[in-house]
Amino acid sequence: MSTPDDRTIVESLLAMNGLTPTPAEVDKLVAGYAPSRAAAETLYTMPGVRYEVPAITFDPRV
Amino acid sequence: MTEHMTLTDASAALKAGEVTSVQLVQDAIAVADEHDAAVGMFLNRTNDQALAAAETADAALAAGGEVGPLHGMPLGIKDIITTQEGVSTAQSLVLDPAWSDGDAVVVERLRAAGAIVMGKLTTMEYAIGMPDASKPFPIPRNPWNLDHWAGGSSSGSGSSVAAGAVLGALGTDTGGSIRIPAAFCGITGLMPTFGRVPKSGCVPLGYTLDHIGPMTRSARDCALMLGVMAGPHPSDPTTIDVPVDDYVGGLTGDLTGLRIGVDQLSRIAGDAEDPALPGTFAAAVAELEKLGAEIVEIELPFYAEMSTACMVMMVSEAMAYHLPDLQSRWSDYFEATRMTVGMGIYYSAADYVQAQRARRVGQLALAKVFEDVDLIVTPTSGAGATSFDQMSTFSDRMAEGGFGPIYTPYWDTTGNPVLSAPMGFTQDGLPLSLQIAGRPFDETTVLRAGDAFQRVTDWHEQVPSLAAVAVPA
Repeated sequence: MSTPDDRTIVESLLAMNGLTPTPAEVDKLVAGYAPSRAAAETLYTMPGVRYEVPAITFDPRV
Repeated sequence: MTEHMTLTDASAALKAGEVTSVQLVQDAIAVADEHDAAVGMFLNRTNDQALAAAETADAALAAGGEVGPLHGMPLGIKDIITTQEGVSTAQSLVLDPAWSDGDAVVVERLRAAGAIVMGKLTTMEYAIGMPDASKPFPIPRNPWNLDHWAGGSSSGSGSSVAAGAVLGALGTDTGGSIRIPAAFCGITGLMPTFGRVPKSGCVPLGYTLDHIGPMTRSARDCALMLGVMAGPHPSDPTTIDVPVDDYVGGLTGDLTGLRIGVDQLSRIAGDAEDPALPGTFAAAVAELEKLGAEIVEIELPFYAEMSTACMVMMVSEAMAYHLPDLQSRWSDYFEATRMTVGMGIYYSAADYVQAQRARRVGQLALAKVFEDVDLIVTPTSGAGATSFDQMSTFSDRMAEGGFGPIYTPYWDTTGNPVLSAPMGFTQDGLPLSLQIAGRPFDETTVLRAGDAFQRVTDWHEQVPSLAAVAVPA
C-alpha cells in the first residue's frame, strides 16, 4: 500500500473540513504540514506522558 | 500634560486635587487625535461618553464621597472584550453581533472601580494572526518605529499605553498576546494565572488558554488593575476561587530571600537573537540580584513540547469556534487568521487530547522547578519588534508551527502568572523585555519583583518620541 504524500493528505483534510483556500494558500498549508506533524508526534513520546490524564476537568453540575 | 503619567501617579494627583479627571481624559483624547491615524491604536473612540464620565467622576470627588481605586482613570479595552458602548468587532469582517451584550465582567469591575472607557483598541483579527492591509482596519504600528509592528494580538493596548492615549488597557493572552505587544511597545503587561480573571464577555480564541490581563506603564499599575479585575465569577466556570491578595500592598521593593531561576533561552532564538539581548538580560538579572534575590541557572523543562502543545490546543480550539464561518466566509478573514486557524486541520482529536496530557506533564515538571525557586525570569522575546518588511518570514514561521524567538506560549500552556517588563533596547532602539513568572496564583511575588526592578531602573519610564514621526504613506 502506498503512503499518500503531504499534498494529498492536506487536500483531503481541507475537503473533509469543507475549506476552500486559494492554490497559493494550499501550497503554504502543504509546506507547513510535515513540521507541524513532526512537532505533534513528540507529544506522544514525552517522558511521563504514557499514564498522564489530560488537563481537562469536567464538573457534572451545571 | 498627563499622558505619560502612570495610573498610580495620575490617581494620586487626582485625589490630591492636582489634576481633574476631565483633564486626564482631554489629554488622552489629544494624544489620540494627534497620533491614532499613524499608529492605529483605536477601532472606536467614545470621547463624548468618556468626557461625560470624567465630569461625573470629578463631581463625585468634589462631593467628598468614597471613590474606587481607578476613579476617573482613562482606560482602553481590546476590541474582543465587550463593553456597553457597542458591538465588539474582534477587528473582523466576520462580525458576530452576539458580542455586543453590555460590559464583560472585567469591564464591569473596572467601571465599578471608577475607570473611564476611552474606546475599543485594535487587535489582530480574533486575537490571532497578523496585520492585513487588504482589510478595512487600521494597521497597528509601533510607536517606537512606525515601520515596525506593535505586536499582537493586543496591539492597540500596547501602542496606546506607550503613546499615552490611555493610562492603562485590557489585553488578552492565548499564546503571548499581552506580553508580545507589551514587550514590543516598551510597556508592562501581566498575564494572570489561568482562572484568576473571568473571561466571560471575551470572544474566545483558545478556551483552555485565554487570559485577560492589564497592560500599563508599570508593575505597580498592573497590581492596581489586577486587584480590581481578579476573583471568580459564576459566568466563567474556568475561574478558580483562590483568595485575591492585596497586590499593591505586597510591593515591598525588596527581593531578599527570593530564589530566582534564570533561563536566557538563547538556544531557542539562535541567530534570531538580537546582539543587545545577552548584555541587556544579564544587566536585568544583576539588578534583581542587587535587590536581594539569589540567582540560579535553570532550564525550563519541556520547552519545545509546551510550545507545541500551545499551538495544537490553540488552533484546534479556535477551529472549533470558527469552522462554520471559515467554510462560508474564508476570504473575509485576514489571510494570516484563516491560515493559522486553518492549521487546525493538521491535528486529530487524539492529538488535541495528547496535547492536554503533555500539558499536565509539563505542569508537573515545572512545579518541580518551582519547588527550588520562587520565580523564573527569561526574556519575553529574543529580539525587538518585527518590522513590516519581515512579517512574511514571521508568518512563514507560524505556518510551520513555530514561535521562533518569541518566548511566551510556554506559559499559556502551563497557566502560570507572568509579567513582561521593559529591560532595555535593541541596537536599533526598539524595546526589549523581561518575563517574570511565578507559581500559580502567586501574582503577588511576580508583581513584587517587577515593581522592585522598576524602582531601580527607568526602562519603563522611557517613552517614544512620536511627535517627530510622520504618518507613513
